[in-house]
Order: sequence, then structure tokens, then C-alpha cells
Amino acid sequence: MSRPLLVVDDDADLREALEEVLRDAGYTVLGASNGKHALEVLGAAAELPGLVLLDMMMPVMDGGAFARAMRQVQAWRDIPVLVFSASANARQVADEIGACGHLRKPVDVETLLDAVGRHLTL
Amino acid sequence: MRPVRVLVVEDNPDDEVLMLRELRRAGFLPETRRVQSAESLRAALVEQDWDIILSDFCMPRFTALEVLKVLKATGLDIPVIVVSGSIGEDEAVEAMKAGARDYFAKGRLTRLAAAVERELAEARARRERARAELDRGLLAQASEVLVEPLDLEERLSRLAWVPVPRVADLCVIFLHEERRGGLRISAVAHRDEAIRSHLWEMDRRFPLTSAVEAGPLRVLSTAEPELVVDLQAARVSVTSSPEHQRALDALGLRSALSVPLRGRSGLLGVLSLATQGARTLGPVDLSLAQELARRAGLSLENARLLREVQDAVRLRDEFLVVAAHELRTPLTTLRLQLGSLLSPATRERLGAMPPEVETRLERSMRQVLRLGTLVEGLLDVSRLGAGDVVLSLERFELAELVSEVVERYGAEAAAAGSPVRLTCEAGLWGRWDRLRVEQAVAALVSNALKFAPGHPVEVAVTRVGRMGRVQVDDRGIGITEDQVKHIFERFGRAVSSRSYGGLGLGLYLVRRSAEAHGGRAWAGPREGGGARFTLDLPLEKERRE
Repeated sequence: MSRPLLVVDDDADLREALEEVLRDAGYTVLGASNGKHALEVLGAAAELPGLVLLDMMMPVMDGGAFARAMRQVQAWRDIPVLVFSASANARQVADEIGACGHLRKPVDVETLLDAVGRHLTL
Repeated sequence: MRPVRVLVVEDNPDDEVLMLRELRRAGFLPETRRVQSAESLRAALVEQDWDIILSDFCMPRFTALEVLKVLKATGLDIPVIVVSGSIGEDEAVEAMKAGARDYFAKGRLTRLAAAVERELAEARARRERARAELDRGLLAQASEVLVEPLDLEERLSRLAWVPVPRVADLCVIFLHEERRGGLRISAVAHRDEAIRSHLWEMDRRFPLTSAVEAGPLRVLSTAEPELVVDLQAARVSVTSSPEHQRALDALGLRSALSVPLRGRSGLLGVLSLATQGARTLGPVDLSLAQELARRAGLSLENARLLREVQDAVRLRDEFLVVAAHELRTPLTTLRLQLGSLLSPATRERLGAMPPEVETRLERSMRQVLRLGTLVEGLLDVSRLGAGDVVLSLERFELAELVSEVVERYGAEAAAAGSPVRLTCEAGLWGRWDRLRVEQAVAALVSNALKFAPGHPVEVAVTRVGRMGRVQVDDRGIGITEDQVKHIFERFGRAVSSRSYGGLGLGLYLVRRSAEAHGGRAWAGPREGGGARFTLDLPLEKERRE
């Protein structure tokens, strides 16, 4: 059983679709609707996620602020982050926040599963 | 009584009295000065304007021939009538040859006034002709300046130099500044560099903002042209700052005029001319200034429109970026939902689905992918249009990518009844942006299927010198010479029909991405009917095995 995945995205339908696809593929998935919520989920998690799938533009607390806050916490510092963004500059953003990679929206199931499989810390 | 300015070259004051009496009798009101040497003649010519010169033929230290020489040297057009006591045929001929307009013996002055009358009229006609000629020349020059591909400031600066020095000593173009209110200098022309910088300095220190009784600022508020022939006599203030007024007075301006620069939606600024020294400005100069201002106004208006268009385009592009960003989220959801429904894992879990459902899901998936392509296309157009094509280069083989694209269009080709035949030369490596090249090849293939359904399409990948070439031949409606020029333009379509889907952006993107790579894309007729589209991309320099 691998560690769970944390999906952070403000679009509920998209979050659910992601969760379904990932669950179908055998992953355990936690969801959060913004950065602040994601920090709460991390704090309450019984088992720390092995990967954060992170949208950048979100209300309350955006992806960049979440990444910075997460790195402040010793225990969460090394959780890999995969930027999942609709912006054309997803790659630059990923570099800026020290993510392990990026996915451009829209994405198909194979690409998503392939990326998650490669970056998830077991 | 008509005023006339008579310069008399004569050593005998009595003769002057006689001549002037004749003129008065004919209704003239002469203003005169008498000179009798080259120096005093020169001085008189410089100090003020004269309508006519009446010259004795022979004086102790001066002759009419020398008078004519002095006058010629100044370049002034003032008629000279020689009036002489002892007059011989030869001298008369000599004087006329040297440029005198007429010749009278002192004892027979009865027709002098009529001759003066005639000469004044002719001189006026000559002046008007010359001035019309000058104005035509200046306006032609102004038009040339204003269509040159310069930035606005440079254009206005050159425009300011058009009337200087031939019509005025100084030309200033002020633009209305909405933020500060009032006028700012935008261009200055004067032959003296010191005066130019003095005016710029004043513009910096004394903004022309508050109400005044005359000058450019007044013209801005009334929108009426203004001409002050004699500034010294009028003593008007053109600025609310006494210090500024003193600095302006120090320039010693003689005449000044200001005309409004009109745009479509109001006043854009003011054009002012001024003279120094003896030269004055008159109604003719005012109408020239108005013509110049009209042209400058048009030019300003065009510049403003261009700015507005550019702003609108930028806004549109920003909107497209936001719109694309927003569209990608639901597209992602759709793609994941459909993808997971169609995935083998789901089928295992849920069991086989009715074929009809599967067909519909697949169709939906195709449409989602198509929507995705359209969204990216929209964005590419705005990005590429702005000229900033950022390539993310990777090394790959051209034939491999082209086969992949052709394969992807298999279903579409079958539906169109157009088998795609592919011939590839292998081993053409280059460093290109995979996404963009893919997009370009896809656009060419889909274009061929769209415009030549029911006919085979041939795709060939070859090496041509240092270029890798992708050639797509169709046997469709073909393309004319005239269409070739426009087919790669944005939204340019060689067909006028609206029966073809898509946005017409495909080919535009092909061209832009080819150029961004340092390659080329073009279209032409195919031998034997149909069209041939060619995409050339530079191959990598060193051959890597």
C-alpha cells in the first residue's frame, strides 16, 4: 500500500474526477480546495502524503503560498510537489517553487497516471 | 488715400518732393526715406519692407545700375523705376537690361503714378504666385514627413522644421496634456540651438496651464486661430507667469500666430509660428499654418488610433489568456472522466459496456480533444501575433513525429475518404519545439483533408540542403497565385465559403512556428491539380549518429 496522494484544486468537479481516476488506479487520495485547506489536511493526516498534486491559482491561499508554507514544516519539507496548472508557464512556476515536475491542464489519464507513478514517494 | 512705402535713391531733396507730389495727386499716401549710397540703401532694405524704389540714374557716389546690383544681392523683389534728369536712350536701355521696370525723365512725371500703380499690382501678383508656389512646396514636404515611418515625436519635429526659416523664424508644436491640463511643447524648430534649448527649458519650468489673453493657450480654449502681426505694439501676455513672460519677451519676437491642431474628438494641441526682426506674419501665413496643422492633426489622430488598436489587441490577448486558462479546467475534468470510462481498468471493473455507449463516449472524447486544440490555437494566435514565440527545444527525428501525426489523423482520413500516403526519409534530426512542429504538421494534414475530401493526400519527409522538409500534397480545389499570398495570414482563407470548420488559424500557426524555428512555410499549386504545402525546418548542424 503506497502513501496517499494529496490533490489541491479549487474546482470541485475536477478534484473529484482526479480522485476517481487515481482511486481506480489503486491510489489513496486526499483532497483540498485551497492551500490553507491543504495545510489543514496535512496536519490532520494519519499518514503523510507521498505526493502533492498542486493547482496554482486558488482563492484564500494559492499554490505558491502553500508550497512555501509546507516547506516551513520539517516533517513536510520533503514531500514532492507536482504542479498541475492551466497556465502556459507551468514549467517556470514548477521551477520557482522547487516542484519535482509539472503537468499542463488539460491532461489525459495515461499522462496523469504516468507522472504520479514516477513522482510518488512510496 | 492708399499708403505706399517708397524708397527714394536721390541726392537732390527737391526731386524727391516732385516725385512724391505726383504720387499724392494720384491718391497715394507715401511713406518715404531718401538714401544716396550703397550702405544707406542696404540698411534701408534690411530695416523695413518697401513697395517701390524710385532711383535717380546718376548721383555723385552712386548710380541706378549699382542700386539694381545691391537690390539683386538682397534677393528682394521690389520694383525699381529710374527717374533721371539727363536721360539718354543708351542709359535707358542699360537700366532696363539691369532690371529696372521703367524709366522717366524728371520733366515728364505725369505718368509716374500710373507706372507705380502698375508695378505695385504686378509685384503683388508675382509675390502671390511665389508664395503659392512656396506654400505648395512646404505642404508637399509636410505630407512627406507625416507619412514617413517614424515615431510621432520625430514626425512632429520634422514638421516643425518645414516652415522654418522660409516662412517664420520659429515654429513650436504644443500638445494638449490631459493629465496636467494645458500645453506641453512637443517640437521646436529655430535655427539657433540656444533658443531651442531655451524654449525647452521654459516648457519644463513654466507649464502653460492657466487662462491667458492670447497665445497658444488661448487658441486651445477658443479653438480659433490667432494672428498678432505686431507683438511689440500689442503687448499681450501669453502666460500667467510674469517670469515666463519676461523670458519670452527677451526673444524679441515680432509677429506670432497660433492655430489649433484638431483631432476627431477635439483639440489635440496648437501649432505656433513666430518671426523675429523685420519680417512679419500675415493672413497668408495663417492659412499655411492652418494647412500644416490640419495635416499634423491627421497624423496625430492616426497615431492615437494606432495606440488604441494596440491597446485593444493587448486587452484581447489578455482576455484570451484568461479565457483559455478558465477553459482548460472543465476540459481537464471531461478528459479525465471520459478517459477513465474508456480505460481497460474501468471495463474490467464494470464489465463490458453496450457498444453504442462506447461509440458515443469515444465520439465525445474526440470532441473534447478538439476543443482542447481550439483553445490552444486561440492562445497561440494571440501569443504568436504578439511576436513572442518561446520555443522549448528538444532533439527529435522529423519522420518519427510526422508518422505519429499522420497516424493520429487515420480515422479522420478514412471518414473523409482520403487515404494518406506517407514517404519518409529517416535520420533527419533537429532541435525543435515538438509541440509546435506537431501542431504545424497536423494543421497541414487536416487542411488537406478538409479541402480535398475524397482524394488521396501525399505526405513526404525529405532532406533539402540543411533543411528538413515536410510536403503535403492534396488534389483538392487547388490554389491561385493570388491566394498563395494570403493563405498563411491570420484567419486568411483562400475559400470564401463558410462550409469549412475550424478558425482558419491553422496555417497561420504553421507559418509563425516555421519562422520562429528559422524555417519557412509556403503554399503553391501542385502539378496535376490541387495544392502543395511545404514546411521547411533547419536540421541540426552536426550529424549525430
